Amino acid sequence: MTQAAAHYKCPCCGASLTFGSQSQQMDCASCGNSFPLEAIQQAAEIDVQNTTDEQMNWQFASHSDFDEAESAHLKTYRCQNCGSEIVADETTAATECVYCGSPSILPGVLSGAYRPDAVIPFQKSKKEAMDALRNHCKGKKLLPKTFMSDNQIEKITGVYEPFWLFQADAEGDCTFNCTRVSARRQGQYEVINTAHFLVRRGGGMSFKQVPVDASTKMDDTLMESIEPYDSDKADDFNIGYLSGYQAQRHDVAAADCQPRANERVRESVLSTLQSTVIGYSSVVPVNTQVQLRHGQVRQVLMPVWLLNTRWQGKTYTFAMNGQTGQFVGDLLGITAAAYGIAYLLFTMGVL
Amino acid sequence: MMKKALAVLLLLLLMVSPALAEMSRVVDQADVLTDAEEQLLEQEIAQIREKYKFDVLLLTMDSIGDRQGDYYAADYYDNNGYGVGPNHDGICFFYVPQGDRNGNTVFFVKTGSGERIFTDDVDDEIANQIRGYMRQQNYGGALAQYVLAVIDQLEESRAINRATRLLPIFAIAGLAVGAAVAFSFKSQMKNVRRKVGAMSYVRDGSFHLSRQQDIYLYTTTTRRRIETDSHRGGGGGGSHGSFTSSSGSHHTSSSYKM
Repeated sequence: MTQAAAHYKCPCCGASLTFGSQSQQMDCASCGNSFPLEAIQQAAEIDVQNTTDEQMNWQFASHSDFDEAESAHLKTYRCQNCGSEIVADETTAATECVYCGSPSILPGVLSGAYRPDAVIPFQKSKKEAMDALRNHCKGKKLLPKTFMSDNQIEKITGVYEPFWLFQADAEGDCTFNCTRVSARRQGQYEVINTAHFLVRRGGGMSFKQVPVDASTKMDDTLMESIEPYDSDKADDFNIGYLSGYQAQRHDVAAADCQPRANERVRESVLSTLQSTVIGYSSVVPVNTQVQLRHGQVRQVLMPVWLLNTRWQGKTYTFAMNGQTGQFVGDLLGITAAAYGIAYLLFTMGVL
Repeated sequence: MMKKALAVLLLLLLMVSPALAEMSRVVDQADVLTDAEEQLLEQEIAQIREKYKFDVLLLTMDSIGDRQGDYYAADYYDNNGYGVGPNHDGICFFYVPQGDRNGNTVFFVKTGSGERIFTDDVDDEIANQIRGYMRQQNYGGALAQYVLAVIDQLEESRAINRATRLLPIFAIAGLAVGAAVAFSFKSQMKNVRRKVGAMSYVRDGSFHLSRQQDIYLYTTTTRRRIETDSHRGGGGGGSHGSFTSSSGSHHTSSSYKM
């Protein structure tokens, strides 16, 4: 059965409301008013009570039905603004109507086990994301000048991306093989003494909410590149934050993200303990044991701006942290020839 | 009074003695140069000695009998203490106007760094430059041209030495700078990468060190022989030659019939 997509209308003019990253309120782009999120949600509930479902059923031909496999991954919703049907996959939690462009929050997608514990609201606007792209391309010596002038932004999307946040106290116990080298001259010979040591360091540290991307649709490396997020500024989840943005629910279980979290925690424990091994000529880790205590996992939606641009037939994807503005994206690949030219230019410059 | 006068004279002698002791670099016993030409050439050579630490002797003789010209010039150079530095760096231009064996022949006899700087090809080139003057018996012009050619060659040698000395440094510096810049360019172009560790998420002040053990195990000792530099030898041939003079010094020479 088609469900009604949550949609907030302006009490003044009836236009669609979106959550404003600057105002942190529901903003109306039509009349310019802003409203507290709670007030709008209460008004919407009253509005729902005054509407009755229409009974307009059609008999669809069998060939037009989704088969079971398709149905398992697709859901349909009805736009509250224009009544059009919105088809989305099972993980899409918020989107916009392709017919009227109204922001639509798809009910039920983020319910039950999929309901996030918290959300970090967007702090950066779409305009800031576009400015960041221009700044990102500035000063790049190897970037063709036509890249920006001929480049077209195909799509810019604000997405709430699902993450699992891993929080724990880590205790590490690391062993290192170390050497200390000294040399002295003895006649025509240089005598080199290498003293070998077994060094052990134990210690711990607390990790607050290490994020791991919980969606298979998003490139995990791209998501790690725009870190860090400040999860201390996360709010309790409220579906109103999603209005005006796209949102996904997780399709990777916390247990499947755990190895990546462990890998990052382990690396940090090792490097921190290794930094306390000083006074040696060489330090080689031979054993690392990490124990986690008070481990907690939370599901949080993080704000991401995604920009797709097209230049000379190739698509380039950029991402910006919607909270901090950290902007990343690979430009044209550097070639061995470019290395050679750079080397020659600067060798000639020195000569 | 007499003693006083003698003392003053002695003092004057001591003051001028360095000038007196300064040997002439233009020894024109064949008397082919005017006094003015000799003086001019002396001044040029003094500047060469000062600037390049390199000696130039212009020697002409009426006759040296049956003696071989380059051996004679080398002995004259050695026996009169010409040359700069421990290797007596310098070059001798020797000319005998007449005679059966050495008549109308120019010899370039080189010592110390002169043997390296003035190669056979360089000598050939210089000989070509002065041949016209010599045939016209314009010896002043020939020797002035010779001194200019010597200066050119010393200047070129100095530039090559400097470049040779600095080339490895430039190459390494260029490599390092080029690699650094290329790496910098690459970093600018690619900034999508996996995070190593999670240091951004460590709570401030939460790190504590609970165990710290440094256990000495054993020591290994290796010995390495310190390499020392070795020296190399040299050689010559054709109308050019190398030889040891009667004083034991090594020379190379080129000779040209003018």
